Amino acid sequence: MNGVNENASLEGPTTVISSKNVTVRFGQIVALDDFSVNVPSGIVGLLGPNGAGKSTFIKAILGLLVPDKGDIRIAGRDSIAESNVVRDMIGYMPEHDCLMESFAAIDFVSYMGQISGMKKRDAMPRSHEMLDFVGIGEERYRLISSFSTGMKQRVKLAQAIVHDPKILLLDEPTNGMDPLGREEMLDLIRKISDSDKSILLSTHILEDVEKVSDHAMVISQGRMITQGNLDKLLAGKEDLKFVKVRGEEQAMEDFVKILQDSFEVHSVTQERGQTTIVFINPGDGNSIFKLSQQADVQLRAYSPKRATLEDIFIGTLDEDNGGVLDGN
Amino acid sequence: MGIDPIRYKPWSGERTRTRDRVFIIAETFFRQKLKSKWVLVFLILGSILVFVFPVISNAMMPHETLDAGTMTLQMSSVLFFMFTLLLAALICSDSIAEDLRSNSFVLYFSRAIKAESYLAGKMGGTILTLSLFCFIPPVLMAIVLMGTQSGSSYGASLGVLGRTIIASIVATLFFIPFSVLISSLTTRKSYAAVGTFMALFILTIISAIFTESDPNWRLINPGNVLAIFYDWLYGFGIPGNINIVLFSVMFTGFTLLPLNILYLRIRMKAVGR
Repeated sequence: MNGVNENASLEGPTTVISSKNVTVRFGQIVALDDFSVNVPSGIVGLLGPNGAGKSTFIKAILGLLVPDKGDIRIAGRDSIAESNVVRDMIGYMPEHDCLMESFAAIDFVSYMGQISGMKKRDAMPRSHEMLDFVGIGEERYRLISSFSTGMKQRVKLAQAIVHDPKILLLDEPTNGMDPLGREEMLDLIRKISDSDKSILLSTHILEDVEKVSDHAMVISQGRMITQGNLDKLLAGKEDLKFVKVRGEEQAMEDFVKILQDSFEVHSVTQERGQTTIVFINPGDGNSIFKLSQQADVQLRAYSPKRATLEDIFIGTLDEDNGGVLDGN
Repeated sequence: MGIDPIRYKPWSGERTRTRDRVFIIAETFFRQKLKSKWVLVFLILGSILVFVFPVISNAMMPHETLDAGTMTLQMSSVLFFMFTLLLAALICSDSIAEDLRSNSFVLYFSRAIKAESYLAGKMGGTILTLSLFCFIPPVLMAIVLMGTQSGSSYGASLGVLGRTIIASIVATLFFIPFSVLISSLTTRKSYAAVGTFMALFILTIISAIFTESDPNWRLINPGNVLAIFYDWLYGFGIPGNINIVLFSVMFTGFTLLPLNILYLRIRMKAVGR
């Protein structure tokens, strides 16, 4: 995979954030490598594994990091030269803990509103509204230090939206939340988006992006892997299946070979004498049962597999390598 | 808990100017400090011990004018120095350390706040709090002594009052850059408080040991630097055995040097490198 995906260089009329050849280095480590992208309006997922450069890109947008090379424009404004104007347009929810724990939640959100440019008389009622919105009730009068992780995430969201920014940068918003909390957080993001906001949702969980957004960008090792409509990115992945087999070692090796000859195999993993093979099979399962009998292995499971971020990576690499895949 | 059915509502109010946000940071810090039990204890105890008793005794003693000597003695007293040092260490300890610990720097600098605005806000808050001990009481003392003077020469007294105002401003500002700098070097406010107090206290001890060999060693002690400054301000001049250049260097070393280092540190934090 070299350079930027062709889709990434298409600049549409609704581009909210655009970066051109941005490079950020931390000593020997290249966090963003000639990174170019145009982020359209609406909710956009910024997908990538940990350490891919997602947070670095968000910090560069905010001017918290000065790129070694390249420039970033937000709504047409330079992120460094016009940083104050840009920052007034943006709400930022950081990934890590950043809350001032000696404050009560209501005072904290109001304080954040005021340093974002709200007058005191506006900030307090607005903070109450936003804490209501994110689902913090009477707890708002308690010190933040007494909050659970889920509640802290909600307060982080409230402080990011208190000044009603046009653009919202959410860095791993569902981090550390239980399944119910995650659903609620994603629901909040959808509701905010309904109010004509542009949201860049950085996460390593594809499922989160699928639930709130149609558009995603995939980033790895500081480079754009691919971007576009999620349906397009996931095309072909609906036939993804996995099969688990047990048997003699040689028999399982033969079975893998048979599958590789007949199907597009994405991955093969072995654990405790059991082999799991992920592959694409648009047809029914009968042929798999027959092949397992032929190879003399026990078929333990055969089921459709939900596409993951890893599958998109593999799919993109597959396209770039002309269909040659490493079965491992 | 659970999601309130309230929908997200946009806000259409008018934004304040970015420079006005400095005052928000200062005011919030000041309010937070006034909730601190220990700051209140030292403020009240210090005010009683350092000012209330001297005010009463000086006011009761017959005096024709507000005397520069009285105010010099008051401002140079060891008790005033010790309480100023303690309060500066206590007030400034979490000014930056707490933001470092909680990683809330990122919340300030993701908003339209530059490093200098952040620093001005934080220092403004510490100045406001410390002025409750270093500025208001000395000025009040001078006003009370002026009000109880028996003579009619108010012109001379007003001169001393003016000098007291300047001396009080310097007393308030003197320890803040160093104390805030120490706070920016650690994520634990207790380390910052103890570090500030001990660093300056050790300088005081070193100064006491070496002063006999050379009087200029007095300048290692920040309390002596301030005392010499007050002598000069109230018109008593700088002692002849003190090198004026060295005095200026030390005064700058305790104030402008830490301020510059502090600014560079915060600036580095603000741009993430």
